Amino acid sequence: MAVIRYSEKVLEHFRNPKNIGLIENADGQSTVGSPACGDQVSMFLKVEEDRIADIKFLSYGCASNIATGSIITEMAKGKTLAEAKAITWKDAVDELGGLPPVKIHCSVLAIDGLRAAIQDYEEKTTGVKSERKVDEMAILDELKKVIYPKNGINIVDTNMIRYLSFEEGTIYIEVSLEETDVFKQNVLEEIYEHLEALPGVDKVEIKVVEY
Amino acid sequence: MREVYLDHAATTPPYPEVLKALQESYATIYGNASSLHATGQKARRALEKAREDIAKLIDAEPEEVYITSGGTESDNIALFGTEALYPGQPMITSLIEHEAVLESAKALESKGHPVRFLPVDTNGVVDLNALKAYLEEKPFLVSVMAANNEIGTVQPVKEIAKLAHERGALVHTDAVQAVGKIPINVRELGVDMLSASAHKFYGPKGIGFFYLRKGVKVLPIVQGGGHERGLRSGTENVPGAIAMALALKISTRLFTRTHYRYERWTAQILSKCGEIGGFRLNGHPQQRVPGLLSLSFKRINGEALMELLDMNGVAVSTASACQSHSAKRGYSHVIQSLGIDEEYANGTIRVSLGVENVQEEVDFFCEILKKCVLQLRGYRNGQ
Repeated sequence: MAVIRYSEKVLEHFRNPKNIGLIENADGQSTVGSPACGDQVSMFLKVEEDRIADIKFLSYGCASNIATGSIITEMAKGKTLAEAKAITWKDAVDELGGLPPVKIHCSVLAIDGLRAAIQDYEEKTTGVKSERKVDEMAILDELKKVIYPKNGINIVDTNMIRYLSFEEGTIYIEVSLEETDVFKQNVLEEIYEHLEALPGVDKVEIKVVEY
Repeated sequence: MREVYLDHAATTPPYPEVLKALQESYATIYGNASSLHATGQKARRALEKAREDIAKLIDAEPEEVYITSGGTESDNIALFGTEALYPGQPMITSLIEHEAVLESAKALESKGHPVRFLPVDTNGVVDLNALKAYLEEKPFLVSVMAANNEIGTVQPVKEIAKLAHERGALVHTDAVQAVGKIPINVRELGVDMLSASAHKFYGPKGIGFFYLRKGVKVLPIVQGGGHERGLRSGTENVPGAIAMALALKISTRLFTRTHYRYERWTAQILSKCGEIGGFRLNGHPQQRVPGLLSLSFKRINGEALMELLDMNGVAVSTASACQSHSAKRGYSHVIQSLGIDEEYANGTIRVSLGVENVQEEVDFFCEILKKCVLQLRGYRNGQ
């Protein structure tokens, strides 16, 4: 068999994904990612008594993106919103029997999509726009979406962020990465991608440090 | 499960005759071609015979053909072997070169040679007006590929060589995707240097050749025993050279037949794509390598399509690897240079036919392709 880098489960969820589709008048929905990168996911929720009664997704992504969308919609269905929000990328990947490191970006997107759809529902029902002011905490939360491919854990919890400041629209961070790290470029590009998208951020400056 | 191999631009399965020649020569022509005894001289004669055969097939003199380890090494010799002779002078290449040239050119930049990258039009043909303008800067070298590896566009190398020579620049062409696929005649092209790789024309991997026109000076990039008339030290790969010469001979003989079949199959595949809808064929409509098709499907992730085709037993390659380490955008530098609509650019696959393909495989591919594209579009629109 040719595609050896995926587990059987990933292949199955790619070939026959669960919960593909769109929910008309969804209670919560989201679209994350961009066609420019090649991956985009839309999520739709039907919520009953604080539980996810139905969930569907559409994907314009690669095999791991589609498989992750399929598995997390299966995992989220029937759960309370709080439980669904707590599903991590790691949970999804474990459930899929692993994913190759280069594919992490594409699968994190599906988790982002689920959380964004729940947030959309909560904003609609409470009427409170929960868009947080961008501060250091919000930046750190965003950086937690950047996974370090070597260990599969985000760069914040991997303790790679050495310094962080946000002043007058400019984010300045110091990231601990070895010059020879094969994932260096990968990590830096993802940091830019995530932080540049935050509201009120005009400029992202990254300094790579080796300590 | 059925396996249909449609990725011949990546590499090709060696001809059975080539495998046989490899096996026999490894067993019987094992001498070192530099040894003076009879066993060595037997290897020397076989090597020189292979060189003559290759030279004849590209209209070169035998002493203009140097055996190398392949395309990448040949490209490196062309750039690094000449740069030291022209310190500080600029060089010209194109935006759609293979990494072997592109990365070498970038390295030359750091050695103090300004590098100019020729843009291409939407068909992937280099801009000759830009070339004329850059030639005014007195570059020492122009390196433009003969045929592009991702979209198959054949470049006007003959015109490029003429313009460059008028301005005194050397001309190199990376012909890895052209040699053995279309007739290549170095005299006709008028180039000073040319790179080729055997595994692209059903020869073994790890061997290729470098054509260097008589009288053009190039310095060796590796130091050693002075093999290959001082240009390429290292014990000669005699069995590889024999097999390469045979592969080129067979490929050249098959041109008419393969081109006829590829044309028919291309029409069939394009007609199926028309049925599927929302597609474009990248590259030049006529000036192209037969059998190499770069297809972009609207609103499809090209990598997902490649993966799904693979799971259905069809091997193609993607030009749009969405790996964030490659580039900010998901798709390749070549596809990007064409300036085509993003909705299409992301959904690009490369299909490359080969001599061992049969009609049933093309039929099978057409059906699977349609099924896979529709399936992925369904993932996106929910139908």
